Amino acid sequence: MDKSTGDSERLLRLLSLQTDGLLDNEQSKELIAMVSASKEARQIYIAHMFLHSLMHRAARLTDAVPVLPEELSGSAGTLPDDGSQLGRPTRTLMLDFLGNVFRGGTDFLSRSLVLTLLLAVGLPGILFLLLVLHVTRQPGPVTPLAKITRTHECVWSEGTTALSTGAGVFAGEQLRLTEGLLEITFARGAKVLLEGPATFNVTDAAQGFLHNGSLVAKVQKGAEGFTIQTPAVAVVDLGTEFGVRVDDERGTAEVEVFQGKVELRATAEEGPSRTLRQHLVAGRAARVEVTDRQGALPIIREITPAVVSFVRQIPQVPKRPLVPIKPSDADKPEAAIVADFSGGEGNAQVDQFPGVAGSGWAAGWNVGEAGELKCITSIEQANPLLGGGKYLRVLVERQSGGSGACTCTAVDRRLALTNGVDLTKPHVVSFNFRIDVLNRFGEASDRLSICNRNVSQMEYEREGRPSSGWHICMVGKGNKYAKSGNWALLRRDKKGKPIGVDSGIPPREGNTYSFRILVDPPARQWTPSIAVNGGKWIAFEPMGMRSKGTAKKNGYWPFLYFYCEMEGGNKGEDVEKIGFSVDSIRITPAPAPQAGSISGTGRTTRNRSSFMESWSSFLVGPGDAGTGGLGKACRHCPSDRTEQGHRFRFWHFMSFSSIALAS
Amino acid sequence: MSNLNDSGRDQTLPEPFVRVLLANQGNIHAYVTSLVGNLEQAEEILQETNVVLCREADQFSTITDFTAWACRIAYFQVLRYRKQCQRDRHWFDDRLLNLVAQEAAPHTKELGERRRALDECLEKLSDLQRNLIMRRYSANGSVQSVARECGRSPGAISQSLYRIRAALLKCIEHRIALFERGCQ
Repeated sequence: MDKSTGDSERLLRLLSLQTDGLLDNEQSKELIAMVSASKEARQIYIAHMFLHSLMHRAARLTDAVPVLPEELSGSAGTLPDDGSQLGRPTRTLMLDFLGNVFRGGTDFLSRSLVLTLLLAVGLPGILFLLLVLHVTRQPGPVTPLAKITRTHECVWSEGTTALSTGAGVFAGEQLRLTEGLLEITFARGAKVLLEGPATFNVTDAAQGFLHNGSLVAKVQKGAEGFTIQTPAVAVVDLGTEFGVRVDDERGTAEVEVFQGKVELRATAEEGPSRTLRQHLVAGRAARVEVTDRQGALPIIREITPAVVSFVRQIPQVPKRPLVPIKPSDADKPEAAIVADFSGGEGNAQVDQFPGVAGSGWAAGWNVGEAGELKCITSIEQANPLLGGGKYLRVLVERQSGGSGACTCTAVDRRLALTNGVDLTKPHVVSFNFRIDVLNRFGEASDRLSICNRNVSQMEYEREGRPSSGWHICMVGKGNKYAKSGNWALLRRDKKGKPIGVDSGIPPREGNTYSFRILVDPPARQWTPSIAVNGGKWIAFEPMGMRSKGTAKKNGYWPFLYFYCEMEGGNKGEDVEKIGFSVDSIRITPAPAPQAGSISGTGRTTRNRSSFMESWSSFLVGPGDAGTGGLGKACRHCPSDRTEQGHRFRFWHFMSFSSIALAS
Repeated sequence: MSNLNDSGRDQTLPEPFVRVLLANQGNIHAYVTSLVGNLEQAEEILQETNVVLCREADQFSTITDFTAWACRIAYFQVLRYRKQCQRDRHWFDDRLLNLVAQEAAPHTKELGERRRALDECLEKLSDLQRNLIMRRYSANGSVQSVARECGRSPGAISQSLYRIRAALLKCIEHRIALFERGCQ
């Protein structure tokens, strides 16, 4: 054992005795001498005392012992009180209440309830609850230093209060985002777009501290001098837009200027006052590293811009297409489950309608008819979809004057788990889909859905609700899934509730929509892209599978499903009709990363304790230049074009296996 | 900004202030504990500090770093407390007190992380160890009383507590290094 280890063990032993009140005179002198002698010893001492205090308060909380100062609980002398109920000072009301609650002497909340609450939400939680309940919101003399002006899919770190648009941010408040984008507008006019995961403090009306994560600051004329502090360097604005990113591990800051100019300012902690100032102009970027040497100035190095890419604005809804995907990516002949309807009608071959099992299909097509809905199917040759030859046409009708309740019908086909494409692994489902007829399709309960499912129509009627993994639908009138009536992409939100993403693409009679869906069962997510009438592909960000379903058990949803819901109409009114055509159904394994591409496959997690690890980045090495293939999953790709030195950052819950670079 | 009435103006504690004050109770307590080395004294000084902070609440709007401000006021309360109890033997002399005060203040900001880390680190202890340290910190949980309850000698309990604290500290420091290295 070397001397320093022995010393720190001795120090810890003495500290433990001290905190337990067992230190004798000699030991006390020894401890003080050690703490006086070195900064390292004092650091250990401080950490030990903090632990002591934390343990004390944690244990007391579970005992529900009063922790608020008695002097504050409305006693005379310290605080004047005008006595009127209305104008009664807030502090007296609140602290009276708290005092009562913590002494367990109130009828309002029993002691056991308080105890339960304390155990459940902890003291800060209950104090906040009580504040919300009992503090009247009176305009105080304090004005916020900044305001939250926009939010986008924000997830706040545990233990922090989620702030929404319009909320004020006060001095000393720390904003800790796990994910999402947050726009903070400072009182002096600067705007900061904080990108989670990040920890940020608003320190002043024109200053903030970025502990980790990244942000983009836009500073208008007149608000120059706005400063972003980081552990390594202060970035002082001289009328600009700039991005700052702080590496959590080392405190390294990366700064990129988009417009105007900033000054990088760093001061040595110790020694004679030494300050480093360096200007950085638009189009330039720098990395500032803290050195290990005590008191030394950080090192500023100029780097190629766009190595770090920043989110400069909150994305519009629907999300911007990221990287267009060529349909040819999926056209890998070696392994594919195909339904081209090339064999016409019949039940002798796989590629007929209804067809037979084989080549990855576990059965032929199934036509489900239910209740008052009638489903007419045919194989057509005239007017093919995007030149694709024979295709399947489906016409669903519902006579008017029915019961009014929605019923379902569908064409579906069961897939085999193996036999060509392993559906438990990432794969791509693509097909062309044309809307032929929409008659009286105008109610919120009129719906056409395309999805994968875990039960057949028959099983559904026998056993109840089906569950889908990926799910695309259109509705007659905006409903909760598709507010605008556009194609909606159904996914699960953070709490596991199914919600719809508006694709921004309207369904129209006569249009052919090409769908290409990257299904990633291990990552439990799917990534759609859509093209209209053979046009440009519009890619969407990966989204969570719609339902847990049996995927957890099976790892896949074995049915490809097309189904309708119809409201019908009053007696004597027109027949409601939905007509559509399908062709070129193809299920292929997801392209694997190619030679010279980003290596490594894996999956990030959403687990809080590993949220730091859920951020991963890859640096593209020599020979990796190329264009993004399935790079749509790459949220931070600077462009389609990736060159050596570009860093990819992966949004959490993203599957690495869906990233490929074509060389 | 206007209030309901003139007399209420100075008396109203703004909600943001109360929010920040409550959120900082642990920070101030930890800071004071590092200065006086005694939990009960720290509680007393924390209360005194709260009184002063409430009295000075109107300065809140000009304060950019509440924790630092609160620690500064707590430091003065520690000095005042030492003056009042001059007869008692002080833990630190003035020079060392000042030194620790300066070095401890920046660490108060990471206390939230420390608390979270502590939660996780407590989980890693064996049931026996966790039980022991929780008992020590429960009300009336001195080493002697824990020793009586467990039927072990105070010396043995003290040795166990030392081991548990050392393990917790190591674990917390490891986590802080992971999460908060960027913090000043």
